[in-house]
Amino acid sequence: MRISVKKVRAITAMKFQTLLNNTGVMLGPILALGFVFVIKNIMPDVDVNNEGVSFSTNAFALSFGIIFNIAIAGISMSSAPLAEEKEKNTLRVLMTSSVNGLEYLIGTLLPPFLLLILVNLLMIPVSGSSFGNIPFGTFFIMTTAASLISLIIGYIIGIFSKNQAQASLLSMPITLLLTSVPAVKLFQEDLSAILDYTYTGVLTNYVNGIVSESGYIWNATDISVLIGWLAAALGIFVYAYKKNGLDR
Amino acid sequence: MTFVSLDQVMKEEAHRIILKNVDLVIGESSHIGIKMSNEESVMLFDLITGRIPPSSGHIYRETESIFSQMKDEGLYDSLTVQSYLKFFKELADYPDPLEESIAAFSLLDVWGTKIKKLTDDQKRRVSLFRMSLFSPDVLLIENPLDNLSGEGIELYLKAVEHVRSGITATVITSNSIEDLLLLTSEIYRYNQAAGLEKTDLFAEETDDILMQKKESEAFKPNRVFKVTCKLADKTIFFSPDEIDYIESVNSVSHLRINEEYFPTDLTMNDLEEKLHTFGFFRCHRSYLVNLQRVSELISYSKNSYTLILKGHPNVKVPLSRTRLEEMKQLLDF
Repeated sequence: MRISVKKVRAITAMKFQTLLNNTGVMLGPILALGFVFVIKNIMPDVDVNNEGVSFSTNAFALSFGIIFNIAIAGISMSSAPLAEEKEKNTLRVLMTSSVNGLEYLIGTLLPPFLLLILVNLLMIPVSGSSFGNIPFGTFFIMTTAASLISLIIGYIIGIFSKNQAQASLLSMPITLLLTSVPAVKLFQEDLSAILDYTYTGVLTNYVNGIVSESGYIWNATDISVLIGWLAAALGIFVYAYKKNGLDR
Repeated sequence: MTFVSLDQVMKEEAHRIILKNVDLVIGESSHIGIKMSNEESVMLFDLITGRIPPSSGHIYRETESIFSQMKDEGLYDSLTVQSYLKFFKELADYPDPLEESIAAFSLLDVWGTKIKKLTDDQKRRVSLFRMSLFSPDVLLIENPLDNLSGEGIELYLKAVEHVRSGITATVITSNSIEDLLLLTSEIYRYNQAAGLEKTDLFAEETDDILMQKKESEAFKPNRVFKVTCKLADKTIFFSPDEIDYIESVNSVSHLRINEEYFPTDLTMNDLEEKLHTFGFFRCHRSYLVNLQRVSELISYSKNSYTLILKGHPNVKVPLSRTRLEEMKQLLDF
């Protein structure tokens, strides 16, 4: 399948406009930033590390915000617009206007992807952390990979949905599961080890690590979990795309 | 040059035959109209564009430049008309400035307006503008005049003429034969038993011939007359005042009564002669209209006139340009 850079650029520019005008989808990142701001301001500023139990308000706010942004906003940013395009038959128009599936996917992936990255970065100052205390490279790689996984999961949901209502219904259990990870890890030690194998679990461990005294060190488990989720999401996406196509 | 030809095409879906015995040749600059349902139309367009293969028969495509516009297709509501068309201009690699064609599509007043604020009339023209940017060889349009206002129809016809200025062939489908008469020059009806049947559209007679014909005809009053229709083993009699209009399809005259059609053995000429005294008027070679039922005369363009019937605002009966004067004299307006 050949890709025209000009067409991808045109789709990206158009999708930026429609994304910024889509209140339902834009509510996700705005709420993520808003919640982090509220958490930071209403919760007492605590930073404890006693007998293996550690809690930091900044870390909790940052991990909550990042996971909210990546899991909720990320999934809805790709699933909702794809479902909307199918519902309103605009995708059919595009597909019959000399645009192929790959051009459409790349063009529509870029705007939410860049927006997620921007909000992830904004989350650092809003949560009360500082860029000086956070290793930027690791943070960028970690959050960017997780954002990409969420967007691909969103596309899978979009492919299997016929309309926006169906997309929201399918997204809900997945986003609930993914966003509850930081809280469950904090209060349910038994489940904590299992949740380490989710990509939002890796993110939670990462944020807790960077605010702890020892800092975060890349480890094989976290890298494998991220790569595994990315590969699995891509695999399911390719299968769904080949089975259903985009506009069916 | 032939762009697309369909040879004995059949398509079934979910164990149900949707299209059968379809033979069609779409040539350069041809303007084809097909009366068919929405489901049949969607299927036909998907077959012509190659989105789906036929169950049997063959489709030969000499061009890939085939674009379709479905009745239920959406536009990006949050974009303005300008940004929407600019987006498709880039996709189509259209060389000329969009502004040059705004007038042809009558979109100047809404150029900077968001699409969600447009009327259906305007949205239909935006869709047509979008397709024209691809300079298509074949344009497939479903039910374009459905639910449009009088002004909307007029402006749409103007825009279609602009799109057709080149070699572009158009295939337009509709539930209404009257809409197709306004838009196309070659009309077919689809039915599953016979496939596509061409509708009679005779060349218009000149005014002189018509006058001579009228002068030679003697006025014969008929006090009682019933039009008969044979259906299966029964014969139905209709009073002239029950009939809305009579339409000729494949040389068979069909009486339109309320929403139903009844075939009759009488020819259009026989019917015209016999119903003349009951207020019927031959408004078109294929149409004989009951003037008592006419409520409006609309002119969508310089050469096209349409009669609207009382109580049936969606029924449009064509009126030939050559017969307009005669009708004016008859009704004294």
